[in-house]
Amino acid sequence: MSAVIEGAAIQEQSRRAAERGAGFLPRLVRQPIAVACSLVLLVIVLACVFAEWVSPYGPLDQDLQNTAAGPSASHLLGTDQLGRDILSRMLHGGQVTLLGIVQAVVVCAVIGLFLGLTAGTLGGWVETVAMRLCDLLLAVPGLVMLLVILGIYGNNEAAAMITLGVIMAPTLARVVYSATIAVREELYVASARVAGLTSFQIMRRHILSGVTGPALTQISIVAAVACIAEAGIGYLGLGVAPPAPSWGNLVTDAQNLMPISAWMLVPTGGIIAVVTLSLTLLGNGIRDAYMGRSSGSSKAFSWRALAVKVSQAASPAGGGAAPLGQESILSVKGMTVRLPRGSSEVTIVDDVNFHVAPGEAVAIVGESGCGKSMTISGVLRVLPMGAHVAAASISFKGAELTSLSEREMNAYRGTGIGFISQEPISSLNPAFTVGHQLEEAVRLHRGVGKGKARQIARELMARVRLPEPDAVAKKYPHELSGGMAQRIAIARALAGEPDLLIADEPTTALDVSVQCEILDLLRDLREQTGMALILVTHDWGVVAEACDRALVMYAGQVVESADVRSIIAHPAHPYTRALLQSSSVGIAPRQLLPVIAGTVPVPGSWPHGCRFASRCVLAEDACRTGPIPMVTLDEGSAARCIRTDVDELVRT
Amino acid sequence: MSSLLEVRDLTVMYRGRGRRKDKVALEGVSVSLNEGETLGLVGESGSGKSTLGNTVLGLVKPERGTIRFDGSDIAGLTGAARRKLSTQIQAVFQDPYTSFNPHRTIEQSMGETLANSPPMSRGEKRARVVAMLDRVGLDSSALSKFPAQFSGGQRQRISIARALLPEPRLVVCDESVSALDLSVQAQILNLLLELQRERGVAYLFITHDLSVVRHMSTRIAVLEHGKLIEQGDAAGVTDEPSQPYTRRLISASLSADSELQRDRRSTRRAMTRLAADATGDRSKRADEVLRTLEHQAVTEVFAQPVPQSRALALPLSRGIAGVADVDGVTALRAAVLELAPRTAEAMTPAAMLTLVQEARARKCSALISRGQSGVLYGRIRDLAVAIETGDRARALELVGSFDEPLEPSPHPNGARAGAHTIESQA
Repeated sequence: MSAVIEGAAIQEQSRRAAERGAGFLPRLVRQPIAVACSLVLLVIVLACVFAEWVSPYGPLDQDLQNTAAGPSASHLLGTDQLGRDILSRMLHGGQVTLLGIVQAVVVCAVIGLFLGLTAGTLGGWVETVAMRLCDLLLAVPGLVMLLVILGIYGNNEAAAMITLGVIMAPTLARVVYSATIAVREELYVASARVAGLTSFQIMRRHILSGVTGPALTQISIVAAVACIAEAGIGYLGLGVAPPAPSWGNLVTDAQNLMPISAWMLVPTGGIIAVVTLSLTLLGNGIRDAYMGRSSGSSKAFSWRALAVKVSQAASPAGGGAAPLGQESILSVKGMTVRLPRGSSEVTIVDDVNFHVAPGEAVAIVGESGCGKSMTISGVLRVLPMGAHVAAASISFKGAELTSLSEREMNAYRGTGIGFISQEPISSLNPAFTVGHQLEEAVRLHRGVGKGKARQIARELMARVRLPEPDAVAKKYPHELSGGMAQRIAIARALAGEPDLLIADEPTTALDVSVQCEILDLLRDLREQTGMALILVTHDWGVVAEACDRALVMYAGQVVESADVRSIIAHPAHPYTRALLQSSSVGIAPRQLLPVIAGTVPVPGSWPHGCRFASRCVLAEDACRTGPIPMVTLDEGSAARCIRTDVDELVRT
Repeated sequence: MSSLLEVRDLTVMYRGRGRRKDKVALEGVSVSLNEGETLGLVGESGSGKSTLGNTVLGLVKPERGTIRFDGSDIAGLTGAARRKLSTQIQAVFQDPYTSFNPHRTIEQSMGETLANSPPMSRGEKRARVVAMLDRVGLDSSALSKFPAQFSGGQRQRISIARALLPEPRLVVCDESVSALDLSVQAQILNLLLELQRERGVAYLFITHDLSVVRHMSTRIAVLEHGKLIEQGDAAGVTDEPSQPYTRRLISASLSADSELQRDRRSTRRAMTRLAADATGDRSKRADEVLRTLEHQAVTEVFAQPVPQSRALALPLSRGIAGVADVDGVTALRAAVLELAPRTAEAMTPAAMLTLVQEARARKCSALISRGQSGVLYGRIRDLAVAIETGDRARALELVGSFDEPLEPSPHPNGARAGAHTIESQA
């Protein structure tokens, strides 16, 4: 179902794209958790830095009247065994701890960024040396090294934290390295090289921006780890020597105080927990802001909102339903698909009616964003999260699909209705051999044992004309060519012996000669099995080659429906005609092609009247006043246009 | 006229790492492109067409060979010398979604191509960017926007504007319209053609789409598995391809004409049956191929912008006397297949050609023995007239009647049976 998921991904992308208009910071600011964490950290850092002025007492001032006391008006967080104010000691101790964090982070960031960026951008032997160095550092046991350094330099915090930074650098270097490699392969880096930028300019302008997000996330984790490590060193008595405070020392003091009072553990342990947690959550926020995800939306957490809603709408005038007396295998009446956008919904497919007769091949044609893929997703009920399908009726072989539960619907997908997608390789699981996946589909749909399934799988592979089925069965998806993978995908769709095969752009990603073979195969399979076909495509050549009837979609609506021969020879809707004329066939080479001005209106901004009116040469006032109905023309053909009478005239 | 771009004997290897072997991406390829013209590079995936483009752009280092641009070899150039060329050679890539950095504004991205132009003030730079955006149909509000705020077609317009900003002499268009919808594709192709006329820029136009390359190119080079298969002027390569691979590519491309597509399918299937049939009735299968080919030829003619019967003119000019013998009739009838490039004998696979020719000779001698060569002459003459007058139904009727006896027959069934007897005797 990858095409369907792809459709969802495109929706997601466009939503993200809209958000991406704003920069990284505005998106970070929109996340309440990230903002709260930043504020908490800011307050703590400022309080520690200005501890001399902020703290009510000196770190070593003793109040012997109040030893080991709980919180009070004079000592907000109580006092320790020697009557020293805990809050003051925490603020002063924070200076030590935070300085340690900064030391570790700076060392880690400098080494990690340098190694990762140089290895990623320069490649070659630099890459090999830098990455092997990382491997070497990763192999050093960090804790042992830390203790050795502390043993040599004795209670030297700085030495310990710098060592910690070095130990953690290779992890950051690897993150930066892989982000750099991903960006390095982007076309915009190639464009920049073609534009004549130097390697340094490319690194500064393009690679850094792609690396910043993952690197910041990793650095926030490094900071959190450094915070805990510093506290640990202090706790073990290996950090700054008492009586000077650090957060780790305070925990030791608190532990010694345990027999008398447990209170002291709360603020001293709490501050470490709060700082660590804030750093980690801020890292999450940075990642989300970078990825353009808005995790703050409460809707995403509601399971009810995630489910696809299906409802039966009141029956409208069934424009595209099968004529009386004609049998149909699939009949869709008044289907509308809505997707969530922000807090509201946007209509993607609007009141679509069509039917497919047994053995018939129907093309759904149109440009991207016209709702072709969403129409079949609506029928199969494989839609993005929170989508809403409403239809008067979707009936398949007499069964009403709208009234089925999700579980009952599953019985139809794959068995009654087969599906193949545009990207055959990504529709297969890369972890298993194709033979295994085919056998799995056979066992699932036919309920046969292992041996029998293997035999049927081999038969299916022979039917889709794969050469050497036994050798192919042992291969993994990435080892196949696009054409072979599409044959496997077809074989898998045939495993359930479907009466209807839905193919979403099945040949778009293939070379022309392979495209021809796949279309021939689909035609032969239809002749052998009497299976019906719905083929989604934007290519009129594929329509002419493989289909009997065509539905043309524009801005979520079916605008024309007719048999392929007549729709190509005598298109009734101006959009169909313009689309047919856009191809370079029949135009003298190097002359300008006839074009449709403007672009397809985006879902959500469809006009009230004819949706094509703004681009149509025939548009008049009547076209813009209200919705245009489907007008039945000849037998079996219909167009959503009130000016079909003048078309013949304009064309000649 | 000396060429703007002259690629000689270019070999490119992709070095394998670890267990992966070295891969030869291009092997001894030579192509040339004149100023202001378009060289179309066609081939299937893995043919090396994009590698050739990337090598010209300096993104890939060649193993051997020279790339002369404006007379000097640029194949081995690196560093500053190569960067200087960016004002002369530019590129428009396939994917309008990934060819812009999502974090940078359109102005920032576009300004990049002016990096190596003579220094100019910020205002001057902006004025040039705005003028170029205006030329491709976008207004100055685009400057501060991010790529994600544009549609695929608009982004490809911006890509073109970016490439043409430093007024280059050569633009490498690598599948520049493949990711676009048909109507948007037409707009972009028009824009490229107009800009070429206005500015005299040359295009190295890389695509897998034969109809697009035919429309855009002055010359076409065909690549397969890294080797140059053939090269020539656009009409020659697409209408009279000399290589079987090119023929296969052309015959696999689809047309939006459903009847044409049906005829092509019939031919293809008849050929498959003939190829699969090793024994028995091969002559009958060959007859079927001939019949489907002739029918397709007429359908193809009527799919042309202006249907022309030129191929029939010469054999018809010899007059009825010219068809007295088998050779004459055969030549006349062979001309029918030459009506359209896709059915021309040059396009028929070699293994099939002899069988088709034999079938035709057999049919023609049957006609002679029935004394009907004159009738065939008349029918082909009428066919030429029907094509010139645009009477498709009549033309199709005529091409289907070549082997039928004199019309109108009072007893069609009896007459057909009779014809069969004569044929089987012959």
